[in-house]
Amino acid sequence: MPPTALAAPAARRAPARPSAAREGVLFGLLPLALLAAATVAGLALGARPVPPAVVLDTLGALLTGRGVPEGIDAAAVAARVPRTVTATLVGAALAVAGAALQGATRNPLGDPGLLGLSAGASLATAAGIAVGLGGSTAAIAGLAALGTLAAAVAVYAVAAAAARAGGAPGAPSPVALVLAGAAVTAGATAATTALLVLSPTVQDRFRFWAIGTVARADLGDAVLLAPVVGVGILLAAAAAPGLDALALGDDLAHGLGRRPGRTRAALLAAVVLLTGAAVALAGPVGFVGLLAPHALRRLRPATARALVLGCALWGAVLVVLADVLGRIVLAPAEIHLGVTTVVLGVPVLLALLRRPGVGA
Amino acid sequence: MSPALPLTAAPTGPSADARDAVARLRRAGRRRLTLATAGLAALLVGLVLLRVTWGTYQVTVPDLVRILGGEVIPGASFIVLESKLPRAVAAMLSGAALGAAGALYRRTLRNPLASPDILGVTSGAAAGVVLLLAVTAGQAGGSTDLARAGAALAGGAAAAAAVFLAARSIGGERFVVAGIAVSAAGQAVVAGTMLSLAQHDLQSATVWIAGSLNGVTWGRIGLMAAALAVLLPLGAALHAALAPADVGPDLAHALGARPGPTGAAALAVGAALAAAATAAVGPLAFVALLATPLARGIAGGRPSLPVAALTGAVLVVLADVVAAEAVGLLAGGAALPTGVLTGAAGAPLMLWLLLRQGAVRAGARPA
Amino acid sequence: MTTTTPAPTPGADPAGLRLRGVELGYGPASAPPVVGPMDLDLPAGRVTAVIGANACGKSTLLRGLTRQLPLRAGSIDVLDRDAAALSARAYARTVALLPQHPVAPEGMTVAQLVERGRNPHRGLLGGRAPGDDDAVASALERADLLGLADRDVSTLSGGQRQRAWLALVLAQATPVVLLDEPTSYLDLNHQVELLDLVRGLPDPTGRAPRATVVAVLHELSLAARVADHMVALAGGRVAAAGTPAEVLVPEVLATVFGLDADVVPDPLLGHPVVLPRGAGDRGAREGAA
Repeated sequence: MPPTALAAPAARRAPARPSAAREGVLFGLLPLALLAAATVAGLALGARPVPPAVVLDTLGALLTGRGVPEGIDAAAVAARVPRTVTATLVGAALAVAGAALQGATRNPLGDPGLLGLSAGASLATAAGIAVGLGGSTAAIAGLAALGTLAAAVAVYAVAAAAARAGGAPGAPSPVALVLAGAAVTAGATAATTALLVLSPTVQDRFRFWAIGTVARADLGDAVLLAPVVGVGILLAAAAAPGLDALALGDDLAHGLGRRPGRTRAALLAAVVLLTGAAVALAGPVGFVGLLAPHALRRLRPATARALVLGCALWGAVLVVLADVLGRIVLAPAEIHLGVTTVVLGVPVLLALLRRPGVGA
Repeated sequence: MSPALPLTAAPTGPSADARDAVARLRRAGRRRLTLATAGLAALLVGLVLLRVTWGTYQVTVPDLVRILGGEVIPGASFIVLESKLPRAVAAMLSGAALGAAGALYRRTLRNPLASPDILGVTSGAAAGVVLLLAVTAGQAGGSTDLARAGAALAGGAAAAAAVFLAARSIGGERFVVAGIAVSAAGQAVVAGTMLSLAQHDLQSATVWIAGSLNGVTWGRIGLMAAALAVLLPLGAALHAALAPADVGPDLAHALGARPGPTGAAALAVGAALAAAATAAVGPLAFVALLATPLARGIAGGRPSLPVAALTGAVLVVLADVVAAEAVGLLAGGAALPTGVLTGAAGAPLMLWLLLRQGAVRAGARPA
Repeated sequence: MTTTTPAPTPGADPAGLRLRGVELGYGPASAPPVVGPMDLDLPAGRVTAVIGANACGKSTLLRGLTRQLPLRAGSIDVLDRDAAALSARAYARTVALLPQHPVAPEGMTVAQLVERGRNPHRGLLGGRAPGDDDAVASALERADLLGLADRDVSTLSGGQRQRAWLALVLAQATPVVLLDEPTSYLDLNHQVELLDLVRGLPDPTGRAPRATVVAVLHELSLAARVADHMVALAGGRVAAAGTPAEVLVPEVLATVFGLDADVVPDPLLGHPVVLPRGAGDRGAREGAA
């Protein structure tokens, strides 16, 4: 018998305990390598393709502080650095936020965009700018985080109240959460539009209100918010062990000595930080939070922590590649990042719906 | 056998009292429906008059009559015939189309939150229109109204078909979530395309995405009216034929209805109605969703497509009066897109519907 | 299909529903049938109780009888007419169904709900038909709901709501009525009340004194109380058919339900009553004795 035939049943017999090495490769080394490749692709591809050698040259010069080398190619690469860095951060942030939301609400349809959090962040940002609070990127990120928090509380409260009224107290159903999210998204979008139409200041300062994009990303903003994203990811990773217990339901989690309330609070804080930062950097980018965690669950991570950390890396890969895709499909015209991720994400969501327990 | 149990004799007619009671209840229900229809129609006429005469530019009713009679009053004639009247008519027709579409979706899917605007039809139609605009942007003359209506119809139909294929059956929560996902995709395409199209005219793009009666023309109104002349009677017939479906597919089948094919036809007509409205005025949020529960409240719980259509018309004309004129008077000349108003007002109402749906489910559960 | 027809028993009731070679199933035609092949006669003007363990094909059989599930093979005659020859509306004027889980629509009064039963008698656009008021009024009277006619259905108690659904079926005024577990979720007193109501249903067409009723029931002693005729299903086939006293015997209960039971006659009404025995019961009694 060929060795592969022997190996396959063995892997099937023990899917829950993959080796640590496999874990390290799938959720660490492989996405890191891919991220490096995607970054090079992100810097090389676009309306003006640049050979990889020039990319590496320019990157080396930039990293060692020698400045941008001469030539149009090098300038093109340098001009793509901010959006690539931003895409990395946004991807990591949203994928981890999605995993945290899915775990905290025990809802497979958790995504900051789908549940109305991104729209809430946009509205808070627009409102803040309208009253003159939007002076700095830090202020905008703070506003976005506040909006995320408010939207999260509103959506969860309404969905939980609907579940209670429906005679099924406890975790609200995925569909109730998604419907509440759709309502909050529509209302917040309408209010944001009103502010944009009525206030030229908002129109001028706040550009990615309708759709996420990294086309006008600023490296300074990315550097400023990178620590926020880092803290958010660490917070989610720290709270991750509680997720495994949370998946069994609150009562059982208590019985296992976990504190579901505390785990949820930590996860919500992570979601708020990550979504706020992502919206401040790129506006609403949908479905990343849905795509990355569900794709990774197929790889059967042994622990929730591996899932969270894997999401950070794979999410970054996903968004950097989505940005590249948006740049080359219709070149020289560009498809905004928010469109690309949604177009990629909707089929995944529709496929998810066919699973038992999601739609029913 | 259990001979001790009495066997009831052959059927006897109902008592006179019972017959009177039933007839009285039925007449009361009918009267309520007639009153609701008449009241809404009167309200609609009043609002249209208000929309045409009142605002930053006021026209007296006698002047309006003279203008409609064909007389030319410098200034006033132009504003009434080219701005105020087309807006009012477009608001009325699009509202009626969305209200009827909502009633068809509501009855077929038996879910108060299932409406063409939540389930992706409206945003699919809008995506069709903006993609057409993007394709024809560089060409002389741009796109015709007819092409625009065709693109909206194609987009709306594609969205409805995508939802149907993903959910693989009509109704159920799967259908709702698939609809929301398709809706998100449509919105993303609209927003992304509009931003790319209108780098230099962000403001006007913003206004169109939100749903606005600003750019409406008599040509577009004519197309919408022609579509409605076919679709509204068809929709009313399907709506009536689906009455047994209110009590669930099993019983509907036993009552001689065919809820499957009739429901699919009703959804198709509803999608076409929503697409026709979107082609003319852009995506107006929540009108289809809200018109049906409001209409049911007004008509005393009876589902009625004409009442829903009238309610939708009243909602949009009212929203347009407020967005275009009242906000203008208050905020010094600025005007909001009508869709912003329906969106902002609709979101809390949708959340309320969600809460109420939970309560209704609890009530419907077998004791 | 007529080749499989068994010789008619002399003196038997005429068949209200006559099934010959009926096969029903889900999915591809190659999948094994859930019901059948089955030959079955259900007597006209009588109450037939269909009993059987879960997943024995009771509900599938009912779905076949309402034509919701197309027949894979065989034929069904309803009151001596081939069901396949009737239009959907004509069939709905002949056979009514009370499903197991009817959907209570929000914001609908009892009278409006019952009026839905008139649908098969109306035109395609649902205009009122002559006799609507009479049919709704007698249905409400019979179900004792006249006082609740203007109440919202969602405010009714479980027993009242089930009577409202039954009234809808009565307003349909059909000579054949199918009921799928009509007593689920009801308290015992309401179960008895509802089944007695079912037993007294007249044939609205006047052909026979009583309607042909087929009810899927899971409470065996109650089924025996209400039924004139009983059919026990197992594995999609007829395991036994006849009067309740003929069907409810320990051997049939053992085959159909895998149940060890004694059957005694009801002291007042005489119908069989099933007394289930657990694994240790007989041994314990013998040990004590």
